[in-house]
Amino acid sequence: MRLILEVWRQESPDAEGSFETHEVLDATPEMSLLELLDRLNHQLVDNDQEPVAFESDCREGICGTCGLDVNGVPHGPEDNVPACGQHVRSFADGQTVRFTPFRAKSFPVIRDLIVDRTGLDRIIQAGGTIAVDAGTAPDADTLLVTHDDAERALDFAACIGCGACVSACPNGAAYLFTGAKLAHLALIPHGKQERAKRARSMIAQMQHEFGPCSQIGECALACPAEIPLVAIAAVNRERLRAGFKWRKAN
Amino acid sequence: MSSGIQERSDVDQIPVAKRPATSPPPRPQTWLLKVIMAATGSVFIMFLLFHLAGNLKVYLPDDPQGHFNEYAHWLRGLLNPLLPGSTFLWIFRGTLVACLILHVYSGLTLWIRAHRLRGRHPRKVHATKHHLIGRTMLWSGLIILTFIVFHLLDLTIGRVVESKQFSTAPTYTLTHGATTTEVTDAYANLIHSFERWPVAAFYVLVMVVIAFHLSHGIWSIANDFGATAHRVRSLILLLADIVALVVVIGNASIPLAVLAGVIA
Amino acid sequence: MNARPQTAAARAANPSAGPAATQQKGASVAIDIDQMRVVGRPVDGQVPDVHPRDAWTDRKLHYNLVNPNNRRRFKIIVVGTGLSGAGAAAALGELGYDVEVFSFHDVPRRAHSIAAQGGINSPRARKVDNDSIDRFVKDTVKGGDYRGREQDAYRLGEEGIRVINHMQAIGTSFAREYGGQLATRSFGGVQVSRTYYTRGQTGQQLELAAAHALSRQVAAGTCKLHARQEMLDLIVKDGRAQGIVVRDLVTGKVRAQTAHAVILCTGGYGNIYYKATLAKNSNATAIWRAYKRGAYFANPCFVQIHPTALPLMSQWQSKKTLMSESLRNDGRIWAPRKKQDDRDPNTIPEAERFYFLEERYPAFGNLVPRDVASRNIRERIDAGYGVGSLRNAVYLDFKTGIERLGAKLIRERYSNLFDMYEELTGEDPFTTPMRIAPSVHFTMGGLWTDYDQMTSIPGLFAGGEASWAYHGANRLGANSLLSGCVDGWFTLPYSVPNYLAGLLGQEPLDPRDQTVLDTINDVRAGLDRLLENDGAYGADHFHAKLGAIMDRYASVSRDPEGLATAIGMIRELRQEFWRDVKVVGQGDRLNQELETAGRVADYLELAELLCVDALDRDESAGAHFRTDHEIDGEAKRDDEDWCFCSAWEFPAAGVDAKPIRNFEPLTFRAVPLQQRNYK
Repeated sequence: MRLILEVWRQESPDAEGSFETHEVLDATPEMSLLELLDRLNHQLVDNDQEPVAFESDCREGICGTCGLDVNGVPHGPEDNVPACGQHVRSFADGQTVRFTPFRAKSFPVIRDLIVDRTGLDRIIQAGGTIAVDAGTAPDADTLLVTHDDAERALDFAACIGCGACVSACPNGAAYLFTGAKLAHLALIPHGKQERAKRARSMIAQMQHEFGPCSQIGECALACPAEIPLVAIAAVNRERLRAGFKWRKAN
Repeated sequence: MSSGIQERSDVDQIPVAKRPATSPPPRPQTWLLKVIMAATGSVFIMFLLFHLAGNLKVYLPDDPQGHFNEYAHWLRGLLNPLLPGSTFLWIFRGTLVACLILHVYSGLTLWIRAHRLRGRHPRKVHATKHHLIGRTMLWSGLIILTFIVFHLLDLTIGRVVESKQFSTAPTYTLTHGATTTEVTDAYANLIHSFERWPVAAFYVLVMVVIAFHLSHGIWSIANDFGATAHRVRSLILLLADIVALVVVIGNASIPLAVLAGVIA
Repeated sequence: MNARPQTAAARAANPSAGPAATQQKGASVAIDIDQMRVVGRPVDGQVPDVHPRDAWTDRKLHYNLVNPNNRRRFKIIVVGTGLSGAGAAAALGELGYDVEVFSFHDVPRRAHSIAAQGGINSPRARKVDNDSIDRFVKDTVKGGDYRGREQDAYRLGEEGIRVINHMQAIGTSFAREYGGQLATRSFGGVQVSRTYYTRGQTGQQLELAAAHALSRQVAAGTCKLHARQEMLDLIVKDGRAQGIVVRDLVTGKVRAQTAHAVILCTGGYGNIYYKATLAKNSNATAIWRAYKRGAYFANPCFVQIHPTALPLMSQWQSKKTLMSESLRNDGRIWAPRKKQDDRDPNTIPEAERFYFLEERYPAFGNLVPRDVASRNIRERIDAGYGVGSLRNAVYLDFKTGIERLGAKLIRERYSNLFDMYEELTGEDPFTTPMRIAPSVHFTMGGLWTDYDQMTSIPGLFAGGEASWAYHGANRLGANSLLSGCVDGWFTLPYSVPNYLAGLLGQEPLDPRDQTVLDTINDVRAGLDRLLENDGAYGADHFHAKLGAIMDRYASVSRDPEGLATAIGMIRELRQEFWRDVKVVGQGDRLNQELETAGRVADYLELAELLCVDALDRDESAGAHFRTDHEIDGEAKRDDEDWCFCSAWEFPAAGVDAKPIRNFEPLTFRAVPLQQRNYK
């Protein structure tokens, strides 16, 4: 297969970027989009050109390291599939495929297709954690969790932290990410202790760097971990709930 | 080298990952603005349904003019004699205006914040209903805002865009057994206004816009109030469309009916 | 035995088997191992001389402590943020130490622990299936074919009990029974149900919990996170590890961080095989550079090869993907009886299918241990019976399972794996048999550590897959997540302070110390050497070649001639690399070519040690299967001569000199030595 690749090149965070067009003549339908970029990079290296910088790691859809927009869609044309699971077979022979970095002001470009997604991690640092020190936990069997709560918590805990939800959102919002963590921790016994404090601090941090939610639902369509859209409602649910607890936190 | 740590300032330090902000987030907080939009939006929905119920009196088979004018009159004197004169109506109007200001302010603030955080590359979107409507909430909102001004000028205040026959003078006689009251002929004002086809068309169009705004708005209200239960959410999704449909059919049919001569 | 794992002669007769077949095939010259290594001295694992069951209690009792007020005066470096690294950093941070955490990722959560699927073992023994810590130790030691320490396994079992409590408390939502209790499942190699899990994403949930616990310490300021920094060297002064040198992957700056102690939790080296199930960025650089600074490297030849990975489907496929072992419960493995059979598998009649595991191992059938399954699959493929366009796989067929249990139940059990398979291959396992092939996915070998997880360099500790502990010659399923958690949360936080206690009152090494500057300069010189090399090929080209050599000669079965050949080829390839590698781009910015080149350069050295170790270890043990040491196709250990851990020492004369093989003798008191048999 022959594919035309339009790739965003940007030397550094401050540099002006531009598109570069290349051709890959020996693409095969079973290649993943990341392997397509690998192939392009082999060609570039062979021609003494600098390869396109992009991130990936596990290539099994679980680490969340890969993240780029393909023809304007986070990760690629298939819904709910990470870039490593998107394949060249989605494209026709001779088609143009455009690779751009994840688009959101909160994700500044580091180089080419690599963006800085640490803003999401700061939301976690702000309170997406449970204050239990090593060795102090009680026996996990004595705290009963219903089967359904455990499974529901897992639905939300499946987030791989890739940032596709933010890139998909026209508002650059991180509601799906934040809501998933809030909903996850609200469902498990130890997570309930700091529930109000967590909602206040995580949502405050979220607002520092990310936009407001318009309930459009693009995030859940992009999410490779298939976080349910209800996570966005969990943000306000948790914050309103915390609002009624006047105990001073933070 | 007694105090190694202090003297190390001249050594190139390895960057440390940025930590969460210590300052409070921009006020008013985004989540609060969303709640305000939801709360004020809810008020508008209740008002709309209330308003619609009154409007639909034009379809009553037996003396629609009388029923409609009586309803308009009742509205003015609501909660009499607890509150004198039109006090309630003015409280009601005040509340609506306050809600409108809050709703518009919140909406614009959120829109500005969202716009600032939008990335640079164009995006390709899913053609879902919530995408198409959700992304145009600001524009449908502005159309509705324009309409509210027009509507008030046309049928309440009677300036600039009113029909030639518009009158707030008590020209209609309500009969309750032996007692009679002279009231404004709101019914006639309505008919006269809708007899102008561009106005009727504008009303119909705006009703469609309102329906779109509503169907996404009600869904947003559920989210902003934190409705996470599956059944509640499914119900509200359904309800959103039903309310939107009821509002558009109920309201838009009136100007059409007037134009068609069904009501006169 | 109608088909035995292949010998060197059989391979030589089948020149199409690999790219290296044209060179030195079947060279049956006498191999003199003394030309390749020097035998060193015995090393002491510092294991308390009590019954293995009491070793950990005894050791903890004798550890020195650090007063809470003094803890913040101690600076500890943790490299890596996987289960063990994040755990160690968070736990030490919680205790009040000044922790500097380094990761080459953007955020801690990306570490490859996240990709583990199946579960985490813990001998909590809540059921009446007769589980216990002793039984866990027996399974682990036997599974490891008696090439690990019993005492380590006891610690793993003992601390493993509260690992579950802790991980649940910090956010892992373990699967629950309908009664609300923790659910368990069975896993390969054991007869009890002690594996705790969260669907098929146990590693993810544990890693997120650990990374978030680390985030809590980062927010609290006890841990300082240095992201996108890759460790490129270890600073050793006065015989102690006193810091590391890192390269900033964004700006290219090379800087040093000094500390009282250094903990390496940098994972395994399986990517040496080029296409493994490991993440693309997993590499051996940190442990390899530590080895070159004097840390011993234990049993590099113990590499686990998982039988059920997705094979390479296309020429450009970048890596392999693991499919959980659990699939073998209901799937039947077969290959066509005819060579190069291109028919649609569904049209191949039963009589022409060879269910080779079921026929060869009637007792265990498709559920033989990983190494046995891998070896047999590989034998079929090498013998020309492979399927798929690249003829590199065998079938894993669920037809019988679906007929027996119904599609619904099969879907319930394996839906996420089937979905993943379909996502990656575009084929539906419900209608077409899966194609699977063995793939490297875990390395039991790693930095040699004593019972305190300290390497042979005082002050340098290792945890998780980066160390050799616990698993011997073969790791049991669901024991890797456990070892990561136990090292991080419940071993290093005890043993590191014991070392620090002796350093009270000492400042960390001055960053302008000559040793620090020298180490920085060494790193810069190494980077410049790569950048300035005027070659023709990118580093990946050499990595691919190395992978081909390793796959052919140092994989599921090994023989002395093949290993000797491989060593020669690796040496040659290493020279070729330095002659012909090119690194495009500059060193003062983000440059992934440079990162890769440095890692490949290290693989080219480590690969040789791996092969020397495999050649040196003149026995079969667990994953190390030598065709010249077998009984009926099974690994034949030699406990007389080889019941020890090889702890390799870097020769002072440099990488081209003979490495020194020290050894730590292993004794077994709780689990008597015994030969495996799965027939």
